[in-house]
Amino acid sequence: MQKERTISGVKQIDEPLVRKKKIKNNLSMPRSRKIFIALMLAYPVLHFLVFWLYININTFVISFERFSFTEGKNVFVGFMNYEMFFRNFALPSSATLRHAIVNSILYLPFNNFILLPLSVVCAYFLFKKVFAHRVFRVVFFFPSIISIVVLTMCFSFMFNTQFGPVVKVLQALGWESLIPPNGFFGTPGLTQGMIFLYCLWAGIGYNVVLLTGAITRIPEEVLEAGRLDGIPMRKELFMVVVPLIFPTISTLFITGSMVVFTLFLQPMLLANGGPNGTTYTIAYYIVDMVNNNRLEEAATAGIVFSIIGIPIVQLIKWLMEKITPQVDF
Amino acid sequence: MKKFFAAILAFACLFTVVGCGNLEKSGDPNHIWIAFAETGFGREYLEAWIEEFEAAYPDEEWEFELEGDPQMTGQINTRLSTNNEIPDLFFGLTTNWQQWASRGLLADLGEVYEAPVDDEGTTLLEFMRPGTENFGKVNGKYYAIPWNDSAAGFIYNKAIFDQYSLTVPKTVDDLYDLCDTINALPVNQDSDKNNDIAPFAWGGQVISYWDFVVQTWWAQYEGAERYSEFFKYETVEGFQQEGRLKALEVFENLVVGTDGVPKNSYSGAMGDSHILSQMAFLQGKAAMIPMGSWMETEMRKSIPEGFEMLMMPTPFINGAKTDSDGNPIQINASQAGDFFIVPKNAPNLEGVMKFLKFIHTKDMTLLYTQKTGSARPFEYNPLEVDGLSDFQKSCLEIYENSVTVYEFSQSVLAWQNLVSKWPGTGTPYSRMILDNEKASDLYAEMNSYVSQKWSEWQQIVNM
Repeated sequence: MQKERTISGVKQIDEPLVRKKKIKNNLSMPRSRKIFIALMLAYPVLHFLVFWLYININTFVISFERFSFTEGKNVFVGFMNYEMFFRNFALPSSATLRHAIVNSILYLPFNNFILLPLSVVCAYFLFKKVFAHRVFRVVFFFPSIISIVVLTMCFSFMFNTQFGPVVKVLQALGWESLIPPNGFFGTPGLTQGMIFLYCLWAGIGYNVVLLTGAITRIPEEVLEAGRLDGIPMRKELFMVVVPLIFPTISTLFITGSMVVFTLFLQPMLLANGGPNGTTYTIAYYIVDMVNNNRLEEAATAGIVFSIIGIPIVQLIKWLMEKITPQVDF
Repeated sequence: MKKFFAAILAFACLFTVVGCGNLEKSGDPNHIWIAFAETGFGREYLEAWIEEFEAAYPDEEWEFELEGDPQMTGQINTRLSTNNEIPDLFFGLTTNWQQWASRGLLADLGEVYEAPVDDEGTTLLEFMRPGTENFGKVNGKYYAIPWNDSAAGFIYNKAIFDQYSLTVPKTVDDLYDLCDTINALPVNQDSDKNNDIAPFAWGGQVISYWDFVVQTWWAQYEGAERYSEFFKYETVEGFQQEGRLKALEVFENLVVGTDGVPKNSYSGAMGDSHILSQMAFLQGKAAMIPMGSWMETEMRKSIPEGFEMLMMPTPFINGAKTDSDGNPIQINASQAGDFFIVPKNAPNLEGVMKFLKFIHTKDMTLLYTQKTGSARPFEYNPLEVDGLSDFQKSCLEIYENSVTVYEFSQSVLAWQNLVSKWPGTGTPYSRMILDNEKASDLYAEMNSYVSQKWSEWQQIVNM
C-alpha cells in the first residue's frame, strides 16, 4: 500500500519496500510485438529443427538401414552396419580408419597446447605494439580471409620438390639432405606434420584477432599498476593478461577440441589423405564415404564417433568452466 | 528499428525455407539445365553440341544453362534424394549410380537407346561398342549412357626420346632396359639435380593412375574374356586371377625402390597431385607418365610451345595372351565408367530427351572426338576426325587397334560398393612403395579378404 505524507510542504509517496511485479498477460500484447517475437524465434527454431534435429534423427535412422536392390529402397537391418564397422576395424583394409582416429586425436593437443599458446603470445606482442605490429596483424590475419583452396595450393607449391621456393633455398644453402626424397607431402609422418604446420600458419590469425580483442578490453589502469610495480613483460603476460582473458582462451580451447571431429579440408586439399591414407581424419573418412555414395556406413561411423566424442567434448567444456575464473572488469 | 530487424529475420526465414524446398525450374519447354562434372575434357565439346543443336532447330529458341563443377558427382545423390536443384541432365564420373535407378530416381532412357544415330536407322543400342551395351541397364531398363571412352597408358616426351635416341619399348623387359638407359644418361650422372630426367612422372596423391597400365598388363596376361569375367564378381575363386599378381609384379620391378622411396621416378613424386606431376612431365623432368588421352585437353594452358608428346601402346607383359599367329594381343583396359543420367523429375524431360538423341548421332560423336581428342564407346572410327593433334592421333590409334576391355559390372556387389579391383587394399601401389610390401603378399591379402567377407557380402546382396 502506498502512503502519502507531507514533508516541508512537499507531498511524498512512500513506496513499499518490495515492489510488486506487474505480470503482463502475454496474450494481450500488441500484435506487432507478437509478430516480432515470433520472427525472432522462428529462425533459430527452424534452424535447430532442420539442421540439427532432422539431420541427426535421419543419420541415426540411416545407420540402421541398408539399401536393398531387390526392394529398391532402404531396409531395416538392425545393428548390421555397427557389427560390420567393428568387425572390419581390425582388418588391414581399415588402416585408413585407424590413421584417421589417431590423427584426429592429435589435433586436440596441437590446437590447444601449440596453436593456442602461440596465438596468445602473438596477440600479446601485437597488443604491445612491437615493431611493425600493424604489418604483422595483417600478415597473421590474411590467411583467414583467403579461400582455403587457394591457400593450400600456395602452401603445397612453396614446398614442392621440383620448383618450390623452400626447396630452392635449401638447395642454395647446400642443405639438400633436409629435402625428403618423397617430398614434404609424400612421406608418412612428415606429411601430417606439414598439415599441422599449415594449420598453424593459416589458423593463428583467427585466434589472434579474438585474443587481441580480449586483451584490448583489459583496463589500462590494471596494466599500469603492474608496470608501476616493475613487473617484466613475461610476468605481465602470464600473471595479468592470461588470467584476465581466460574466458576467451577457454572458449577457444573448447572450439579447438571440437575441431577433432570436424576437420577434413586441410588433409584433403594438401595431401588427398595420403600418403597411403596416413593423413585422414575422422571427418574426412566420413566425407569420403558420403562422396562414394556409402551413406549407411557414413551414418554408422558418424554415430559411433558422436557417442565417443560428445562426452569428451562435454568433459572438456565442464573442466574449462570449472577452472575458468570469474573475470569482471 | 524493430520493423527493420523483423524484415531481415523474415527474409532469413524465407531463405531457409526456400533452401529446403525444391528450386526446380519448370514450365519452359525450351530450357535445358545441364549439371556436369567439369573435368579434364573441359566444356568446349558441350558448347559445340549446343551450338549444333540450336542450328539444327533454328525455329525453336533454346536456352541452355550449364553448371560445371569438378565435384559434381558427389552432389548428385543429395540432389536426387532430396528432389532439390534438379537439372535436366547430369554428367557424372564413375560411381554406383545404379542405386538411384533402383530407387526410381532416374528417367528411363529406352527411347534414346532406340533412337537412330544415322540416316540408315542404326539405333544407339546397335551403335554401342561390344562390352558396353549393358552399361546403363538396371532391372532390364536403360537409365544411363556411357559418357567417355579412353585410351590410357604411358605418354612419352618425344623430344627426350629423339634427343637421346630412345626406343619405344615393345615389352616390359624393354621397358626395364629403357629405365636403365634413362637413368644412365649423362644428365642424370652429373652433380646438377635440376637437369635430371626420370623415367616416370606420377603423383602419389593420385597413385591409382598406375591402374592405367597395371590393369592393361593384367588384361594382357589373362586375355580379354577372363579379364571381363573378373568384374562379374560371381565367386571367390573368380578373384584369384594370376594376371593381377603378374601385373603388380611388373609395377614392383618398375617403381618399388628401397627404404620407402620409389625408383625410376622424379624426386618427390610420392607427394604430388596429378596436376603437379603432369607439370613436371611437361617441364621435361621425366620421359614418361602413366596417363590418359585427356592429358592434352586438361593441360592445354600449361603445355610449352613446341612440346611434343605421344602415347605408346602399353608394352607387353611376359606371358601375354597371343593371337592365332602367335603375336601378343594389344589390349586397352578402358577406364570408362562416367555417365549421363536424366533425373525422373527433370523439369524438361521432353526437351532433354530430344537433346540426348541429338548428341548421340554419329556426327555429334565425331564432334565430341574433335573437341576432346577422346572417343566415346560407340562403333565409329574416331580417326576420321579432321584436325586431330599428333598426340590425339596416337591415343586414338591405340584405341582403334586394341581390344578394349571394360570394368563395367552388373553385380550388386559392385553397385553396393562392396568390392573393387583391389579388394581390401585400396590402391596397393603406395603400400608396395612405402611399406615395402611384396606384390605376392598383397595378392594373398586381397584373396584372403574376399574369402573372409564373401558370406557377409552375400547377405547384403540378398537383402
